[in-house]
Amino acid sequence: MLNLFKNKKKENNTSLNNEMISNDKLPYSKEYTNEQVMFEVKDFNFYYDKKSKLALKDINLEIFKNKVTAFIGPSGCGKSTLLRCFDRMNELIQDSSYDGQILYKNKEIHSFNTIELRSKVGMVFQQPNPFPMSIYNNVAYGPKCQGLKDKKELDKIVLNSLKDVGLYDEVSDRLNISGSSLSGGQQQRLCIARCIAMSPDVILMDEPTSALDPIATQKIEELIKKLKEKYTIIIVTHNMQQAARISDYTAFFMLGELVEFNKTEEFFARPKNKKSEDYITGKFS
Amino acid sequence: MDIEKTELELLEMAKFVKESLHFAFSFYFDKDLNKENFIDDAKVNAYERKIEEECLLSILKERPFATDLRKLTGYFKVVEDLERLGDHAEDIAWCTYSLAKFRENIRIPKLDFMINECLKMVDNSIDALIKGDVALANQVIANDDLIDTTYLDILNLLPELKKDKNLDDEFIIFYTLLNKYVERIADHASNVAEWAIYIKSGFYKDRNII
Repeated sequence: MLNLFKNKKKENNTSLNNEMISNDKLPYSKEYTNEQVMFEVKDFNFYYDKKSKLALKDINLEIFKNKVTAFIGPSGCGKSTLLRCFDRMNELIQDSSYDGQILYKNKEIHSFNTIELRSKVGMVFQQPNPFPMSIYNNVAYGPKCQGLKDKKELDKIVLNSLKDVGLYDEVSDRLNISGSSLSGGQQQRLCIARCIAMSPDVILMDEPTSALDPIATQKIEELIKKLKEKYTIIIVTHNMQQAARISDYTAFFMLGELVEFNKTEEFFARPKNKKSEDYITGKFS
Repeated sequence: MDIEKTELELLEMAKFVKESLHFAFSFYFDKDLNKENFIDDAKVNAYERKIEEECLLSILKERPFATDLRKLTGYFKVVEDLERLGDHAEDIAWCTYSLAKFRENIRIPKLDFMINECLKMVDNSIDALIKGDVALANQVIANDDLIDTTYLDILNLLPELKKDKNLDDEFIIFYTLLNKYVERIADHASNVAEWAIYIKSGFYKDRNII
């Protein structure tokens, strides 16, 4: 714009040259190279049915500490399979096998026994699944199983865990009622409280809000954003807006392959891969 | 998603605005008062409102990402400049009509040159918008400096012209306005070019927005 009266330098709006913005040459910084790595997946393949079905193909991925990483992709793309590999839950499936490595804090996950691993890597499922016991005992169950008997210490863990998930004020006067009597959203927060009572490093979440109403979903999303200060979170979600809202990094899977891994903001604004762009803009599902 | 529909409407609007400006300047050049009026500001305003509403509704309902988000937010912004271009087509026609009542009929070569450059900028900015042509959009933006310089030259020239040819004050005022409108049209063409770049790449002016 013409500036007749002000001796102000004209705004530079022509600095962009054509080469700079031609699709894959964009100078996007990879700011995440300085993140601390919690999990490292190396050349990982996972098979079902005695190797007749390849569910995950040559996955290489890093999960960063105190960040929320979202796994997205169409049904059957392998995102939940990979999630369940982190706490070795998939190994319960008959005739499944894997090759490659998953490192947890630089150590292969198979060097830990499953109890030890799962106390550090908790899981929250799609359907809230409180144990058929009281609210208090749901949260105290894990520490008790690990041999903690001190009532004061258990009380403290239960109180802090319920406070951390924002449930304490809602249930403080009825800790002895059954966990199943709570609403769906409260049950899911109870499950998260049960998980964090074990002081894990990582919380795996497999579509944790898909069975919840919008208000309960919003509470869980706010909780996830708060929990990442203490924990590393991996969430599988079909809801792309949710992934965009709450995650720091997004991994997009298709047909068992990791198509793109990027900072969430960049992934949803300027995906590098045409398949990612097509998926998030609804060109295919 | 209805983006394709909105895109078609935007292109129709851009084409109509472009033709309105060509009409307005051809009127300036031939001063044919019997010419049938092509300019329809209400139509341009209606396009603007419709496209804005469609963009907002699509954002609300579809929660778009990536290319779709750039398109919808870009369309929402660029219609503003297209609407202003439409307004200026009317302004040019009004100035020409007002000048036609005077006996004097002068030509200012620099103004003719500026008008032709300005029309090229409008055509190219709309082409860049339609084709997503970043190089062409950058050409348009770069050309704006030439228009600004020419505008100032003409502004300085007008008092001398008035004196030399003993022109009526009102006559000079209409030329001053005309000069300003052409300069503004070039500005809006530059803005359209900037939005064309944004829609294609996510860059706006000097940085990446989305």
